[in-house]
Amino acid sequence: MNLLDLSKFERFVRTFKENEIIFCEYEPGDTFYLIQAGRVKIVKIIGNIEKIIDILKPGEFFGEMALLENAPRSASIIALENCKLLEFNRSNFEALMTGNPQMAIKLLSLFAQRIYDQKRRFAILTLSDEYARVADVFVMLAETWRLEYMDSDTGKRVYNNSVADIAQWAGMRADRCRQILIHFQEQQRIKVFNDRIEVTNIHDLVRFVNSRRNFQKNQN
Amino acid sequence: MPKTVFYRANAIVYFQGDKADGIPILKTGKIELAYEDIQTGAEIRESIKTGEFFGVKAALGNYPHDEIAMAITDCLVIHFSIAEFESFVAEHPRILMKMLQVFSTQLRRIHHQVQNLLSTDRINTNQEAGMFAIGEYYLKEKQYPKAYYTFKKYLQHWPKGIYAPQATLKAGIAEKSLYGNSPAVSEANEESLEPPVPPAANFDEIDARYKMGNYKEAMRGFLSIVQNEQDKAILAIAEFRIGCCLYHLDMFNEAAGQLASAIRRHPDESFLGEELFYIGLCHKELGEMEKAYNFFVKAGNLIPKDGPLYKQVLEKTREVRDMRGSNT
Repeated sequence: MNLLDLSKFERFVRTFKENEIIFCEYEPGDTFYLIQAGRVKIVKIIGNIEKIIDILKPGEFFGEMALLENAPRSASIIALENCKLLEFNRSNFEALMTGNPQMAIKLLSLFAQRIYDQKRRFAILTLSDEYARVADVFVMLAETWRLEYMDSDTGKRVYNNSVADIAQWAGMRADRCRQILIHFQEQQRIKVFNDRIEVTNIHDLVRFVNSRRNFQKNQN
Repeated sequence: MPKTVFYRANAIVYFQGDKADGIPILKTGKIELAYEDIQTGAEIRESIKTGEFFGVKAALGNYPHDEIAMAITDCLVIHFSIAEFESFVAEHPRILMKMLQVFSTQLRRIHHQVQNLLSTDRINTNQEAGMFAIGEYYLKEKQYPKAYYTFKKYLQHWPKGIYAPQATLKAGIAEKSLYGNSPAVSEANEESLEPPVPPAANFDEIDARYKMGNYKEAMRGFLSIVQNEQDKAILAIAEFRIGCCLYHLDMFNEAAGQLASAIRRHPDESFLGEELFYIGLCHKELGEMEKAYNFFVKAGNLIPKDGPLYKQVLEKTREVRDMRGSNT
């Protein structure tokens, strides 16, 4: 990055103190951010607990969905330490990206990942069988895990997710999701604990989801 | 150096599920991508123009290809490594911007499709209620700067929102706890703070608005009664009415929650049957027929049989009775 670019950026720098909210879940938003210094946490309040979904480091973007539409923020972002961020919006982003191809490439990669994630989520929601939808959530989450953990694979997977998380991905109410999880538990496919859910054999769930998906395809 | 590869007609450039190593660009010939529509499973084909990169998303997103790329005629394809691709597009900002546009359009489309499927299941919490609830969470947790931020932002976006009077009050509490020289204000002396909302109009006036169907206005009125009123009987009915307003404003989850907590706080009111009836109505709207049915039956046992409401309760009970099996 040359000097000219830096001076161009200074106007967009915003600083946040440790523990300060950058934006809040449900808030309408039209800005997105690139972290220059410091880390931020992505949190959601689920039930009565503030849950950390992820931690982002310098060089990472967040709030990029605002570039596409004025959708409400899907989570809150809070500074973990003193942070320096670049704040963009739809009107200045194109000029910035044209002048900074490295940043544009980074954003392009981010979009590629997001498209994949959303397609995967969409694939779950198109399943008409609610049991298959819940099972496919576990399959999707396991897909993002690294392969090296799966050597000598027994198929057991441990999820630090709540029933509400699973319900949200499966596109159903938590009480309905809980009924389905109990049903799976009776079949010994999963075990639900207070702090985690264990899948006995993920390959079994993959087979189950695939058979439901094929069945549905043949019906169409 | 990017390397040029020759593909005969009908050859496969890559399969679905292949790990993407590098990014190809079509130099001459005809290539088609084929993939299944996620929703219908129908095959979709897309032809690649000469000079076009393909399979970019999988390579940049670091996931397997979700389509198959086939040579339709004899083809020349140049394979770029990711680093080569990056330095190429860095020197061609117009191509880069075009790709950003294409990707963002695709992302917006798929995002909408996901949201549409989610909203038909009614799991999206109302935005306004959601943000207000976050403020309340932080206030309860005594995280005053965050509570203050959230209520302030709420008021900035919804200055006339249904929670605006409460948000004003609570932003004030959070602010005093932030800047006041006294230690954090406890729940117990919340009431001693002067409420920044205008004093409650009289109950009958607000109730008249409710009866005329001005639910938003009526709700604000009832909220201010709840904040200012001392009389338990009036408080109880105002809390009940807030639940009814939420119901009429199509906020069924919130309405059911409000009504349930009104009953918890004031369990012995004469209108308990009516409250249960409204909770039943909320569940009916949420598609929870079994719950709706149970509430209607309970309401029917409490509501006087000669009153005007009783007939409605019976009607609704019958209506949901036959729908119960359908959503389980």
